[in-house]
Amino acid sequence: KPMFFDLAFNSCEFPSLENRK
Amino acid sequence: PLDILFKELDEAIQEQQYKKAIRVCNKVLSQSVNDVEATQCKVLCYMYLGSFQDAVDTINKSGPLKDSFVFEKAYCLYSSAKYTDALKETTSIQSKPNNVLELEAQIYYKLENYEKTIEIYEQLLSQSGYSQSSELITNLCAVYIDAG
Ligand SMILES: [K+]
Repeated sequence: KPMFFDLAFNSCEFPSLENRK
Repeated sequence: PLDILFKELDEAIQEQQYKKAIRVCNKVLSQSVNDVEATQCKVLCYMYLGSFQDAVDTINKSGPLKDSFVFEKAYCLYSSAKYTDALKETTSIQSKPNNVLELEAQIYYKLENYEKTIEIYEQLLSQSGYSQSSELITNLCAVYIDAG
């Protein structure tokens, strides 16, 4: 199989917690 | 006391200690039901651990926050090889942000709907932010190879 990147995973980001600390 | 828990949560995430982070999220959620950030972090921790069913269960139990997790739910279904279910989630989104389009292209690729995959990638490549994306171009090449 040719190489195929999971681009969508890059958008799986943790929220900023700065305002909650 | 919540601020102390969030400090602890942030540290656990920075250290990639996701199981520990989930325990802290649960402590927050026991005091602050449907807390937005704690719920988001819990879902993400399960995803980073590859526990996609646990992530989906957390989303399904997130009450009023549920609708804000359509992308995450679709990604979890995609990662669990439930491609048709994943597609139902993404197609329910009216105006699709780029991350949803990226995911939808991946779902169509797995479903061997190469025409749709190419259509989405060409749409993304026409945007300036993607024109230099070697990963996107690599994926487009993969689609052309598999499509024959
Ligand atoms: K990521």
